[in-house]
Amino acid sequence: MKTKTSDWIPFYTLFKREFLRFFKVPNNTIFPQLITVLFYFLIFGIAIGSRIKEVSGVSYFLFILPGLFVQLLINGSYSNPSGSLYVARNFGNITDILLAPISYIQFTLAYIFAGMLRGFFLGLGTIIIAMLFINVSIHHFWILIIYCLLISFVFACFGILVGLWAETWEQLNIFINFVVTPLTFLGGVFYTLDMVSGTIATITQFNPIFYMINGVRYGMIGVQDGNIYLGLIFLVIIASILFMITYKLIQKGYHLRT
Amino acid sequence: MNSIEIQGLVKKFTIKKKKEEVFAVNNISFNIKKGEIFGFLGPNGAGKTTTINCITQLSNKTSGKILVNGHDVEKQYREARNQIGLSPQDLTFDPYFTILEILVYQGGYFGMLKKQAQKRAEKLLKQFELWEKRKSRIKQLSGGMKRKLSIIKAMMHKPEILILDEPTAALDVDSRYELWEFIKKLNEQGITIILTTHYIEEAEKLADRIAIINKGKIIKLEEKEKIIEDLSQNKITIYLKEDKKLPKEFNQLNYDYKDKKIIIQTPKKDQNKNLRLALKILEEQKIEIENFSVDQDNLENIFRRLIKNENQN
Ligand SMILES: Nc1ncnc2c1ncn2[C@@H]1O[C@H](COP(=O)(O)OP(=O)(O)OP(=O)(O)O)[C@@H](O)[C@H]1O
Ligand SMILES: [Mg+2]
Repeated sequence: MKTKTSDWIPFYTLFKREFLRFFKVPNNTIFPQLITVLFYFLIFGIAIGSRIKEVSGVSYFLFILPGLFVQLLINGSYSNPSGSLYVARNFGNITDILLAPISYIQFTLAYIFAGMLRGFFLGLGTIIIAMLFINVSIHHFWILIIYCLLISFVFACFGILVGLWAETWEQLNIFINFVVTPLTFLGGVFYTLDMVSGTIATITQFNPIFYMINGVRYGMIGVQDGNIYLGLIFLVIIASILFMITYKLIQKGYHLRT
Repeated sequence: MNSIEIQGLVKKFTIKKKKEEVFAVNNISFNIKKGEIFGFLGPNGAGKTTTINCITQLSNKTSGKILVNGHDVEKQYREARNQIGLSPQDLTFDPYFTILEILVYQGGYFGMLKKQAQKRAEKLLKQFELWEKRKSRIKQLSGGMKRKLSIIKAMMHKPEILILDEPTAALDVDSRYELWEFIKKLNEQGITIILTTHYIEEAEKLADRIAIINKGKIIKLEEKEKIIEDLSQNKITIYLKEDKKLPKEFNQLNYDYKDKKIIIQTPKKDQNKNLRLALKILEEQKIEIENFSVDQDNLENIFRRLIKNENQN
């Protein structure tokens, strides 16, 4: 009988494949996102920002940085698993993974971790671009890291779920275009709660992404607009629930095995 | 010792829109012995690929039990998958990577270190004359090259069981012969091989045992020689010197008579008896013969008769 192979090489291989795939198509996965961010900085940070006095004690440029950072963190961690799974299901090369001796938990984590890494990569890119214009120093490192880990984890799970569910390219993008992007803009990327009123204020207050941006903003520049720890607890709960669902679906082979 | 044990396997597909149920595999049980070449034959849509998918877990079976080298394919899926290399009927490759990268990843998925995988890939690519293409993309390979690559991929982790779902489809004549030699050589090294094919000749050349599946049911499973021995309908042709009416004694034979030519269909085991009988009758009636010949039946004809019979019942 065949001898047992290392448990972790298959996992590591899949993780590496998932992460490296996105460097193979940078015109899809890296440059457009970073160029968009550059324009936000140029237009909102520099051109318009110079006419706005400080917001919550910091320059407007610095104020919008965490929100844009979160946007790319989400975009990266969501797009990596969703796009990859969707393509692999449609090309059929997902069978490579299904035939391999990879445990279902490793399967799930490899996709999540690779997504998180892509999110971090794009997030870091955002900060580096910002540093071309302003000084960025981190206010509360650990809060920032924990928030980033949880946010990217949550959206990597979403990415897997949509990547498994979607039957068309359109469906793949529904979630990001109709849920994530609007909620990010209504999550206080460009404003604080007291700058808005009425419907926008209400949506913002019940918007989970608002609390994510809020936490990251606190970690990055020390400015907060809501409770940091409440946000953390909420994120941990969401992350746990999403992980369980994702894992169960992969174990069942939902839209993977016929 | 069995490599694969299948008990009461059922695979039902439900087509939601039409509320239709298809029993692609309908309660089959059989074992595949360690070290044999197992030919799995059947017409299109018979359930061959579905059975293979249940073994490799590309499909979730509806019910039944499958053991691979003693490991349950669901409860001990990692151990079970480690034993098997599959070259599937529908070829699929990772679109983002080169041939060599694909193989190194494949090795990695099965726990091989990068160095190990590279060495193994080099050896196999050279053996299949694809080494020159190692930096190519999948799109740049011909159909037959893709087929070979798929077999190399299945072989990367040195599986104990190799499943080849129509491996010679799209191969040119030389490549086909080479693949047959390769399969035989692997088998001599103790690797169990499961082979589906529509070239019955291929199964006749390679397989130790043959299973014939039709509409989700196994209708025959036997040693190849025994199937041929038992089910062969050989053809005896006797040429007469002159056109004469045949005596009624001939009616005990299954024959056809036209243009001085008698064609007798006979089960292989009764072939000699029937030939002697025919010659004896002719001699008694003083009917002179010019010549005679016996044509051996082949697996292809047997296969076709079996399926035809089965579909009439
Ligand atoms: N995913 C699926 N959904 C619905 N029906 C399916 C699915 N896969 C296979 N079938 C049906 O199951 C039956 C068996 O198909 P299968 O692919 O196992 O046949 P096969 O013996 O491999 O045929 P071939 O020689 O053409 O490859 C067919 O009736 C097919 O239509
Ligand atoms: Mg088939």
